Amino acid sequence: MSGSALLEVEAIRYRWSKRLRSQDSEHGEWTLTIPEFSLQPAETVFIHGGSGSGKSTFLNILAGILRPQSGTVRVAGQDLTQLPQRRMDRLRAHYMGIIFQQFNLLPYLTVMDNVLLGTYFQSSPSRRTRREADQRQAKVLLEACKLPDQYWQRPAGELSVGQQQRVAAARALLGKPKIILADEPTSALDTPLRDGFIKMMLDLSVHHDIAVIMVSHDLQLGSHFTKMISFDDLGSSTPPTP
Amino acid sequence: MNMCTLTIKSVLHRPLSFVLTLAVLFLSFMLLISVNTLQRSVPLSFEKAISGTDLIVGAGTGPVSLLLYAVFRIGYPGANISYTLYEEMKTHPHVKWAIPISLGDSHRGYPVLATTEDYFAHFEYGDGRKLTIKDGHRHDFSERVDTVILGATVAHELGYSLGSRLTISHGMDEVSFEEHENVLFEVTGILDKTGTPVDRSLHITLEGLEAVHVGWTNLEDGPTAASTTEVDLHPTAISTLLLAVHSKLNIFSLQQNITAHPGYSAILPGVAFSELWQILEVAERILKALAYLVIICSLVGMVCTMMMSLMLRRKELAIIRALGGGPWFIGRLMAVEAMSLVILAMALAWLVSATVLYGCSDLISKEWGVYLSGDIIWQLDCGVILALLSMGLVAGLIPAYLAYRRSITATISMTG
Repeated sequence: MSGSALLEVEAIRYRWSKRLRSQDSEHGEWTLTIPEFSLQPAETVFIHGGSGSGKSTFLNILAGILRPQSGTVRVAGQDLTQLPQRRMDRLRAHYMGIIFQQFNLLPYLTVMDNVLLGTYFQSSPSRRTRREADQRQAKVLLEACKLPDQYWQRPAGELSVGQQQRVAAARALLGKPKIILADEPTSALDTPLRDGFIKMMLDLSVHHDIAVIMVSHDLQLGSHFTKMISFDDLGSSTPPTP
Repeated sequence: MNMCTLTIKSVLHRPLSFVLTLAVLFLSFMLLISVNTLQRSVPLSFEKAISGTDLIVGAGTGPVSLLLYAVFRIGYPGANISYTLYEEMKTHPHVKWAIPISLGDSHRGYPVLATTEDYFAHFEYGDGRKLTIKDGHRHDFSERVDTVILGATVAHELGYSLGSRLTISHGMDEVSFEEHENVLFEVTGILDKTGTPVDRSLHITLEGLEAVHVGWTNLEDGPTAASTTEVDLHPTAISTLLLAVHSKLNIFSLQQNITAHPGYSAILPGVAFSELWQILEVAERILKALAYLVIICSLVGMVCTMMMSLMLRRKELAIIRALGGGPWFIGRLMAVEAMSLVILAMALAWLVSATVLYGCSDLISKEWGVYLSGDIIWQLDCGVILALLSMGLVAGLIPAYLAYRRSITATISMTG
């Protein structure tokens, strides 16, 4: 276990509960096991796996949204599995930016409000004084994500899918997180848009010294990353022993 | 961006369910406020039917039925009281005025009240208002046997005007088998609207009533006062007697004085009213219970709509979770939404009620005889409002808790 790792996973086991099973029936009663995984600062990792392999669940565990039944997930020296809910949520707000497949934005908020939404949860005593700095940074990031300022005050719901994903990227980058977790962020985009988006996301991450973990079923995208892992090599999903 | 603006923007993003939920809550709150208002104003309206009268004298019945027929012309007098009691009371040193009233006949379903001119001079309703004549006059009321003064509703509904002639039937049924066709009464006056049972009454003289009953006819003799001398029209009995005293201190001695006559009773209107309210209390409670049931129904409706929207908002909640918003935050978001809806509906219902009460109370009291005072809106029980708000809060906690539970597992993949 190297001390410099940004994120370390050790021997996690996650069993889908009944509640989740009903919502995510494809998983059945399977158990996800990940013996080991680590992420170095500013590393960009591409995790490839078929749909239903459990890679989304893995990202949820890394984000601290799902708790594994056993094992440790260490982020910034703290074991997520042992943290109380509140501190885990705060840690996520500070350390991680998350980009989903699609529907990243609240359609009724403006683009700018969507980008700034996360800062609400990064509660720190100086939040008020930081508001202007956040806004400045949001503008810089939106420009960097090639979203012209005429869109900034528009409701996010009016934007195209590609534009929405760029707004999501800008939001994930805001507040200088240490890690970006991306779950198939390009699956709703056309091929040319897709490559452009990945390049933009990775360029900005490198520029801001942010590590990236992206999961996708699309092998072609892997070439942009410093590290490429097959989800099958990383761990396994197995049915429970009867 | 704070929680309230987030809630407002989110709610306005779903305008239809918002408006519908608000409307349902608003209507049910309106219902409760209306019931509450009526509960307060109905007694008030009833009690305004008579004022200034200290004692109501009757025979053979309990206080409530005496009150009902003497003031509201509901039911029948159990027995008559003698006319001599009236004459005795009229000259009694403690008595300020005495109004004899005979009831029992009707005209096309409207009660006929036989009395003296004192009725118009002394009878008070509302907050001490006297009866006033809109059309015609009452100066020969006591001189002519065949005169009738109509209440406003009677004149309006039956289309009578000054000079109209009408007959009186025995009993109170609209279609009476026995018409006293011997006497034709002439309308000499029409009263102003009062919003009390007076509006629905026809007023004739005691002598006129006697004339109807003794079979005296004016068809051949002509409606002259002289002709009445041929028959003795002096009344011997009346149904009830309204009394006012000079000093309230004398009410009880006078009451004892009257009840010394076997079978006679003298009641204080206030006491009789409170007995009446005791009887009506059950109905009031049922009405109130129904209003609360309606409110519970609409709160369940609100919870349902919020649950439905919760399904649609899974993605929204997952986004907030991913950004670091805790389940607690999401629970509060729901609770704030429910509370705002309840408070908004409450405020709207209150405002509309206040506007109606202040704007239309005159119209309502004239048309329906229900005295509404705008001030009633200020007397709404704080307890009722607090109960409603806490019911709303509790109802809002259900979707809030559900959102809380669900958002713990609102995973990233859900947005896919």
